[in-house]
Amino acid sequence: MSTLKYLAAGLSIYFSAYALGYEQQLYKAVDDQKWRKAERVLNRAERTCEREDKDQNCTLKVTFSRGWTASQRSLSAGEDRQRRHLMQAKAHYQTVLAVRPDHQATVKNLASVLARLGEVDALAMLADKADAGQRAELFILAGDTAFEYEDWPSGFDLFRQSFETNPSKAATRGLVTGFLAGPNETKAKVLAEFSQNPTLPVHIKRSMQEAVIRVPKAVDAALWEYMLLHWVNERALERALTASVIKQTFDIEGIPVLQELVDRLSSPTLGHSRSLELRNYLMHASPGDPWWADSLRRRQALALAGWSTGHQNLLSGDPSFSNDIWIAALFYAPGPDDYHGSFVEERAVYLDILADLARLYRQYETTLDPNRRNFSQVERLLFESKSGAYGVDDLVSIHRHHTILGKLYADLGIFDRGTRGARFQLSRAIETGAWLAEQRGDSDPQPVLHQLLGDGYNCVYSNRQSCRKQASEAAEAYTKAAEAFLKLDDLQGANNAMTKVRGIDVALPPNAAELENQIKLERNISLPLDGG
Amino acid sequence: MAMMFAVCSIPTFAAPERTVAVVVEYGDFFGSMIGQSKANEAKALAEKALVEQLSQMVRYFRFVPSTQDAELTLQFKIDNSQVENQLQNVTDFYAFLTLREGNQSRGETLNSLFRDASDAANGAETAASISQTLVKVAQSLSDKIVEQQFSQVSFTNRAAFTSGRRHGWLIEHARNALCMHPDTKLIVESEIPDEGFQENFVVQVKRRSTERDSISMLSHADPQDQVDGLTDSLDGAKVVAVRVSRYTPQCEEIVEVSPSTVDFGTEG
Repeated sequence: MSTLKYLAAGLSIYFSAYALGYEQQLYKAVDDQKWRKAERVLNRAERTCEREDKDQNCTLKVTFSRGWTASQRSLSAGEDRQRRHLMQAKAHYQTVLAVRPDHQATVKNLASVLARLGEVDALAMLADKADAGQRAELFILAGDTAFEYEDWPSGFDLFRQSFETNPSKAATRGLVTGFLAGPNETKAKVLAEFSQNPTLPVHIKRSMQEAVIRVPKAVDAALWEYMLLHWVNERALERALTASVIKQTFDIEGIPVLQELVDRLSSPTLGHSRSLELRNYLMHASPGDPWWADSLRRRQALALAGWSTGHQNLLSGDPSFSNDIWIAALFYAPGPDDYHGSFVEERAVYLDILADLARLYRQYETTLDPNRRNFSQVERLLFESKSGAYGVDDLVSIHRHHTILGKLYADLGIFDRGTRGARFQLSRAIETGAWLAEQRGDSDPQPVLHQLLGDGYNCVYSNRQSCRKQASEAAEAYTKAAEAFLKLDDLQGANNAMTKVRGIDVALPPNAAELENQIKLERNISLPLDGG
Repeated sequence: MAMMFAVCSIPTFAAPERTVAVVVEYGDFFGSMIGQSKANEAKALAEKALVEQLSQMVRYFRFVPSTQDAELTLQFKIDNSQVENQLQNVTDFYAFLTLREGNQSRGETLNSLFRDASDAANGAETAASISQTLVKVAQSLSDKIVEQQFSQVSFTNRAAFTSGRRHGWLIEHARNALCMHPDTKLIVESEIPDEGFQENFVVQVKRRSTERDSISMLSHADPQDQVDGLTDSLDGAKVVAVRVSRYTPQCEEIVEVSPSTVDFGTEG
């Protein structure tokens, strides 16, 4: 190789190194706010690129650097010059994107510059073309920029697009802010539609519901009611709904429907001249009260809210209030005959309330039910309801009744008392559950019901009254429980059930050894069990 | 009226200063019901999942599982609802959330339904299901955890009142590291020990501006008059605590990229 060639190669390496390494000089100039020096550094880098840059990479990087430098310069410029520098930065970044439209770092920097220029439309177009990694964030930036200029409709729409890309809390915040700044029917429908997504985290769904509930006059009454009832139902099923939660969440003074709900939950005896008592007529009276008693769905939500409030009062040690609010809730709860048609999948809250009242009267017998009349009344209502289910041959409801009664009696320690005991009700629950599963073509192993049945035969209910141990029946029930647990891949549950079988002084059921082998086999490919 | 603000300064502390250990515990009945090995497995799995969830929800504290030391603990205890109840064959379970600083409880204990007795007929609990349910509990209570528990403890005292073109507090953290959206509301506890001055200022982030990698927060203080005491005694004033009473997490993802991190040769 000739000397000239060596020299050319050396120069090439030098220039390439310069082109790659000019950034540190540029940063120093920018930090010192020596803008002419920065310009010289960039010019030199550009000249270097022109000698070597066959595929434009080097030149593009310098153009990018020019954009970045102009943007940095705008930060320290006075208001009058700031815009000029930002426009320069925008032009440089656009030059890069004209050659490399997918260059994401340039997209990001241009977005930041556009946001500072307040160019919402350009920012939205840029977001629309961005890759999946930053599309949602760019729409948020665009939405926030629109909000800075109080352009609420555009902002809302940009956050909607961000949410569609990634349903984040930040996007939700923008949707809620944009909606509340100018609430209308169209935006409310967007929130309602988003909130129906079953995979949405509960806190995101809830903030959308709460936004619509805050502005009853701005949206269609039916849509508002839809959002309100969903909010009430979902919070109540979490047992988290109380009057104070409603007051903490909303300004109820301007929303009479919420004020009515708070009044009802705060004072269960509202509208009654005396303390509530569990009487039959309460169940069948036709409530002539305002909003909340006006339809089946509202009554369902109201009853759930009362049920939830009662549980929270029980947690805080006020069983007397729980009693009152549950009786009031029972008053409004849809009855057994109401769960047909589109209502069939709704939770039968009256059954939950009755079962909880039965437990309450047993636990606080001396104060709430000294002569046991309330318990008998609840029991009678549960049986009447069950008969109704049999009367119309509603297998779902029949199974539900037997399950609730079986677990209730197990809880109360009542096993062998004919139809009014856990043995009968649990057996029927297991039986009807199997029929139901067969009808549906699926499997319903019900391990807990089998286990409760075994506990009853084995006389281990914690509140058991007089009990005659039935060892072989207990072993059989526990073995079935183990089988059912295995079907649900619950090795610990299966192991616990078989341990109980071993603890009974009786010949093992025929399939016990096979089950234990299966547990051991699966245990070897799972985590070790403790045998407890 | 003077504008009050809290501003993040340079140099900054990128990571949160204070650590919260997430502790999953079980009441006796729940623990015995699921068995020791599943309890241990679920505890480890749930603490890991909760650390991830809480780290997304709240960026001004660092969250770790109970295997690591921390001055704050957030306990998730799964226990049956009826504390004195003998009715234990079938029962509801709640998750009770308690925040402690040392041995002291901070804020009220929160609760959320963990498992409804009526859903339990086929409800074989697994470590994964326990973990998932606790994550849902944390999501459901997210605002309350911030407003009723974390608002009771300081996330920093590295802050100082400053007077100049804008009155306010200089907080030695990058706002984008703590991911505080301008909706976030802070309570700054300031005092001048020699003068017996002690006040809590509600500081709401109002606007942000970008300056390289730091983000400033511009806020109103309420009440304004009481700040006069601070402006008169700048040297003696100190910040005792900064608490967050309302929080909207939003990190600054869109920060301009500098040239040295960009490669046009390989980047698409």
